[in-house]
Amino acid sequence: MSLPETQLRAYFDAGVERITAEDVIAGSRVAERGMEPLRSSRNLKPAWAGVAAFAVTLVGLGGLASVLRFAPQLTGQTGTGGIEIVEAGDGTIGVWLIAAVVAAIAAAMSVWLVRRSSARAQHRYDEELDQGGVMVMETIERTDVESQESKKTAHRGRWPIVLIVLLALAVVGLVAWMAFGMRPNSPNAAPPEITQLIDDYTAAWNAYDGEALEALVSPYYEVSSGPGMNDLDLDLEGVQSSLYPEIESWGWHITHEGPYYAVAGDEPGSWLVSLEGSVVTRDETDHNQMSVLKVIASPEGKLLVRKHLFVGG
Amino acid sequence: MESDERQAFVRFVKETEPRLSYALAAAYGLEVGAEATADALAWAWEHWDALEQKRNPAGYLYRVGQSKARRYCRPRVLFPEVPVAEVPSVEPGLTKSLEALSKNQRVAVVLIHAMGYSEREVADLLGISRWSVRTHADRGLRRIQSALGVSIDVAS
Repeated sequence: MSLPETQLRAYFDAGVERITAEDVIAGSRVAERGMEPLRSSRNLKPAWAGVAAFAVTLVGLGGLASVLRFAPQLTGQTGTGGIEIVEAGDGTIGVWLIAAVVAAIAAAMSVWLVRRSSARAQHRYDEELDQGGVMVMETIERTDVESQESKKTAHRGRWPIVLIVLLALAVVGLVAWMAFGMRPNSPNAAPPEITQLIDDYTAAWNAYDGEALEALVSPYYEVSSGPGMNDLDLDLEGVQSSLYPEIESWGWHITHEGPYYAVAGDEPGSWLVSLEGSVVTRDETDHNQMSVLKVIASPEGKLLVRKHLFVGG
Repeated sequence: MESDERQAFVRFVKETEPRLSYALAAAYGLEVGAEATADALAWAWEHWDALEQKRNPAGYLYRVGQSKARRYCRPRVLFPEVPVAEVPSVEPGLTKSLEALSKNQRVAVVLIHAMGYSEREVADLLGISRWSVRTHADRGLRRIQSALGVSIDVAS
């Protein structure tokens, strides 16, 4: 047995294909004439295809969301789009990831399938060459057994394609659904300053924080038709003396699930804001109630809640 | 003028090609290594003016070869077994033990221990220090010896 060094030298001397300067120069002439030697160029690997599809899907959806967010400003329409995207944003990250993962799986499987079929074809070709045979077309007489086997093979071969098609459809469906969810579908979506006011107002209600609420309502603040509540026509003192003891004792809690819509009120600078999907919890019982708020602007230009109406329930 | 360039290139290839061929073959396997060497030398001829100015043209060309090698599929077997009739002295386990080494270990072992290049030449080619080259070469050789269970040349 020889030393490993000797073996390595023998192996590499026998196996390494040497190249001369003349070969290189001749090769460059071939390339100059537009002829490229045949090479087994690198194919895309399934893992990289999956990673690329994942990244492209996430970036694409992010781009779509950005475009939709800025579209109203570009078109000059006020109050559209952005708010609803924000409203829908709470639940979309998970769906984005699902869409990206599904896209990654579909891409990886597609590439894997293509590579597998290429490898099989190459393997068959190599086998033919190894056997010294020439690939010729010939008529094969198929027996019943062969026919069954080939059908089974064909049947198995269809499943990956079916799966890829289903995954691709799932991606398209998810993206379409998300795009629809992000689409600004109302010209009356509330502008950001009103959305902020409503959120602060709701937080003050739920915290039974009279001081915070006073800062957000106008001097003649009214609350109408609450469940189990008579109409209240309150001044600022009444907010703390009458309203809060009542709602706190009942355990009031308000949540708003839907987007906010705003239209201009009858008075200059006023808005009527509808809060769809509002739920009022009282005595641990949920009441589905839509709220309508009347918002006015103070002389200083600050938006304040003038009236809160509970509708339905 | 063109003839001078050609002569310089021929001299360069004559001097550099063996080291480059063995290094890229050791790093990426016989098949991809040969393609990468051909591509790198073609690049060298195409960019000869720029390459000539480099401080370490062989090392630069090895980097080019590495980039070119990444364009090719990594074969399942980097070092295929050779028929015993062609190379009777090669043990069947040699290629597997070679594949088990890291890329730099393979290059260092092949160039230094098998082909007799100096540590300096290999360090220039790989762009690493001589100490690193020595470490790679020694560790790589020990692993091959351990895998083959041989350390002395009983044939001699």
